[in-house]
Amino acid sequence: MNLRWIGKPIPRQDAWTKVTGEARYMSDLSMPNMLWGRVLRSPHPHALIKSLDISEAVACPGVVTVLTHHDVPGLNAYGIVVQDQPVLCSDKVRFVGDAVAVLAAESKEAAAHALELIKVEYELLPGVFDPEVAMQQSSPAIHAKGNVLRHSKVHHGDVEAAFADSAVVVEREYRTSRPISAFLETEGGMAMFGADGVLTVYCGAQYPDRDVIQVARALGLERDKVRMVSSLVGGGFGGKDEITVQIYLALLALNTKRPVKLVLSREESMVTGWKKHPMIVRMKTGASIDGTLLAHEVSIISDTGAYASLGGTILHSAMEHCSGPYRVPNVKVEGHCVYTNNSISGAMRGFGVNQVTFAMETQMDILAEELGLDRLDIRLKNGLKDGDKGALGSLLVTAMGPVQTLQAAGQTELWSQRETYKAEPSRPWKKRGVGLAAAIKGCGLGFRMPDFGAASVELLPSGFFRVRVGCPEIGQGNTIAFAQMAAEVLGCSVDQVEVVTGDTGETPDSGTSTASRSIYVAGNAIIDAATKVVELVEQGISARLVVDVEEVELGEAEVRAGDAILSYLDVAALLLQNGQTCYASGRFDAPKATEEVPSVYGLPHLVFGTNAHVALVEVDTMTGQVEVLRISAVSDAGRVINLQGLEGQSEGGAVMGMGYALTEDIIIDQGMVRTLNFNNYIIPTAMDTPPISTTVVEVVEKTGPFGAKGVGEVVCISITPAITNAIYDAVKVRVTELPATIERVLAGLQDG
Amino acid sequence: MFNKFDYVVPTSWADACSFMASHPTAMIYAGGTDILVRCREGRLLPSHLVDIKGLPGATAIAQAEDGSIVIGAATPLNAIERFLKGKAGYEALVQAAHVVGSWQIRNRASVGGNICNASPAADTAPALLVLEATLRLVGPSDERILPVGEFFLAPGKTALLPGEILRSIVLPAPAEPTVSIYLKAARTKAVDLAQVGVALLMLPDKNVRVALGAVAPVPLLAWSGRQSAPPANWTTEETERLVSVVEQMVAPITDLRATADYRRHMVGVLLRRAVGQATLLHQERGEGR
Repeated sequence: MNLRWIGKPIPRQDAWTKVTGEARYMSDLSMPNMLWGRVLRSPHPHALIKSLDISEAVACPGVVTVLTHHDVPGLNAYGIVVQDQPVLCSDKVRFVGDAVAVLAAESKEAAAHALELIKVEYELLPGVFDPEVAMQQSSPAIHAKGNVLRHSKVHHGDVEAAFADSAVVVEREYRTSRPISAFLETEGGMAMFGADGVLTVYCGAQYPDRDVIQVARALGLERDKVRMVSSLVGGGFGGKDEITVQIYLALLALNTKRPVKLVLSREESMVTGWKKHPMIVRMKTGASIDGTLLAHEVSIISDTGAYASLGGTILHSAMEHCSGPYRVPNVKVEGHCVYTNNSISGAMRGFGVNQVTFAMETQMDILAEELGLDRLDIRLKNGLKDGDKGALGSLLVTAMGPVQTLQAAGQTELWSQRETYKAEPSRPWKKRGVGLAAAIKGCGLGFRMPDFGAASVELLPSGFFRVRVGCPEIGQGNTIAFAQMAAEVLGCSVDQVEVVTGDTGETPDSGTSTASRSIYVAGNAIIDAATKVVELVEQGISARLVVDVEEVELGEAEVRAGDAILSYLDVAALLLQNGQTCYASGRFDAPKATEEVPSVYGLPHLVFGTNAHVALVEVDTMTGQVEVLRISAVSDAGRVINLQGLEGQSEGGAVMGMGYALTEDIIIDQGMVRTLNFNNYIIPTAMDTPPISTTVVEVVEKTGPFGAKGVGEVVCISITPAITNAIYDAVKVRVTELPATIERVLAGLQDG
Repeated sequence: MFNKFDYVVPTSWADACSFMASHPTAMIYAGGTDILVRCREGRLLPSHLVDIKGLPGATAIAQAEDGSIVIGAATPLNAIERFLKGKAGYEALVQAAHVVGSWQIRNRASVGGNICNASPAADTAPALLVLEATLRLVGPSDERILPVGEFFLAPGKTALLPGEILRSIVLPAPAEPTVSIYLKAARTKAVDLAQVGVALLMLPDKNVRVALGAVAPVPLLAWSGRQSAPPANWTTEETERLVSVVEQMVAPITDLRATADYRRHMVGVLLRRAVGQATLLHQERGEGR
């Protein structure tokens, strides 16, 4: 394939405006006559609301409206899968931060003051904070239907017999932490009613079309009376997949008929934002003497916090990926997703896969050690290939990259020269280690959910092409990739393409900007639309200039028609006369597996991205401090669309997974979030970030646009066990609980 | 959300002091890197912020004729680092100034603010303690000189009287060849507050001083006294004796940054490393002469 734009490191069109601050996020917007919104939140993790008195707040100068559950005109609940989270709590609160009232005032100060004047009388209920306790029948019920949101089991093959045949069986328990996205832009935005009666909500979010459904349902409005604009977004990572503040903004604008702005403080975001599910993962893995994996028994208990959101789906994703990128013929996996009074867990980059991959990749290192095998060899031997069965027994029919990716990881300088890198620590009391790990992550929404891409491409009077896609730009760089894919098909320069994303008034519903899917589905839809537009242009010019269609050719800066050469401006002038358009919409329906995995809703995924990481760490044996000195990432993105974008994802993902490995954890004590800001929620700083090199392995996926898969999540997964495995390599401290804080590592050193 | 306050710019130290004396809820404002954060959190509700940066000498740093160094209270940490870098004996303060916050913060944050907050974890405090800094405190009617060791009374509480302002910090000229070291334990390489801070100063006459941060309610001068050997002949036994004496002095707490046990452990680790670095530095200096 002779490609002009695909794979090139084309700079992002939004790079300059973001660097200079010219770019506006939704929470940067403001309007004349704008009000400030605030949310009153529960200070208790579990309590009944006995009374609610807003009279003093309403009478407060500057306050325009104070709303409670009585003022929610439609369904007083939201949730992507199950609507169990009240917009405004009526009878009960289930976590610290649960919303009880929302108000709008003339100033931020008045809004803050009025918040203190709302009187809520609570009757405290016993809280449940340990998911294993919450599962017991005797525990206080957080929801009427009980505390187990989802319980699923899959068993294929014969695990018991395979364990009996195994030369070695490794059994461990792993516990993972509760990180939060820590996006640059906290949850926020603005809402206003237009003269046309349409309520427009500007809010950084990952799926504006679904937000419209949730907002309209809560407000009792028709969907076409609600418009969501959510691009540019200052980071999503899953934390803006579910509703954050959209409904509050909409309620306040509906009631005041004035523009309303509401932006969560960082502290409020830390308390009320969506976190990654903490999981207890018990794994028992059996292998033959040569390292061939034979049996795998897994139990997962996932703490979804007070409300469901995507908790059940995330549990299933964890189950599907419970053997990591490896082939195991006999697997038994059982998962529980459990309500607690601990904040709320939801989508976060990796969607359940980080937790189980950390566990599985630690198992692999332990197996290698017990069998005396090389850590890379045992992985290569078991790496999933096309035609293998996945952990849940479904057939893998797309381009699988684990073996190629691991081979490339083995060829990185960091791995092949690891003994040299380890030989000379910077101080006598420090020790170095190199760790290796790999991960797969399904792209897209799985078996049941509609999983489609939609886009339109049109020729503008200026001679430019406009591409419209619903999937918002959340910082990941899909905009430039969309432009490259359109330009590749159209034949024009990337500069000739304008991309609009994430505005339900402007863009076709193309599904979420989540699940590593926007390049894959929207890219295919763009190819479809752009192909049609090429035909329209060719046919139009052919008719106008009376030349054969075959003689019309769209080029980088001009269009050739027989002997004539036209600028795109000329082309537009010729084709867009008398109200004619040159427009096409495109559509792509993601292919599905031929059959669903029995007893787990919505699985399997069909397409998988792969990543491997090699990490070099240096551990201070006296302090427990772990320094990551180098990271080599190997990414199988299928065909790379934008190399710079891939490297950006790879580096950002590596740092995020490094934070997950070493420091990041929202600490909740009896339901109270104690890590309220970055003074105690510790993300790696620039100074903690090592050189990261990214190697590309293109295991081309034929259903992907130009052969691309999605990598937005898989880039952040295997780095975590690569680091913890490197810690073991350095000092023989086996990390089974995340994060591997200084003190946990020191405790391990002292025990050893 | 900020509480409302008035921003006041006095024109003389006397004006500033009398304003402070007549406005008990006013607070001194220098870099603002702590105070504004606390105002935003609602932990401080000052009626006035009195900006002393424009007052004579407030941001100046200079060496006096007697060799001592006078640092205006509002001098940013980066300026201190620049001025003292390479000056023998002051290493601990250079290192302490360098590990506060980030580069951007150190362009604003002042040494006066760092100690007037009276945080037990203030990085510059242990360094100033081992350097035996003295503080020039000016009041509405008179002024006084206070050793820094007498300045910290409790977490958030200093010896400043109503109306009194820290005007400058004086570092006496260290005897040649003094070496000092500040080491900090933290969860990240930048931005984090100290889990533990250890400052060590070794004088040529066998005198040694050790000060600690974040292991007691106040920054603590944990040891000041004569060892049996000069830095050149320092022994492991000497170090261990010092560590065991210093470890007796600490009373750490457990918080989100570290457990009390870890803090206790780290005092010994950092002190041993400080001794190692200081003796090495001493040796290098000796060879360079």
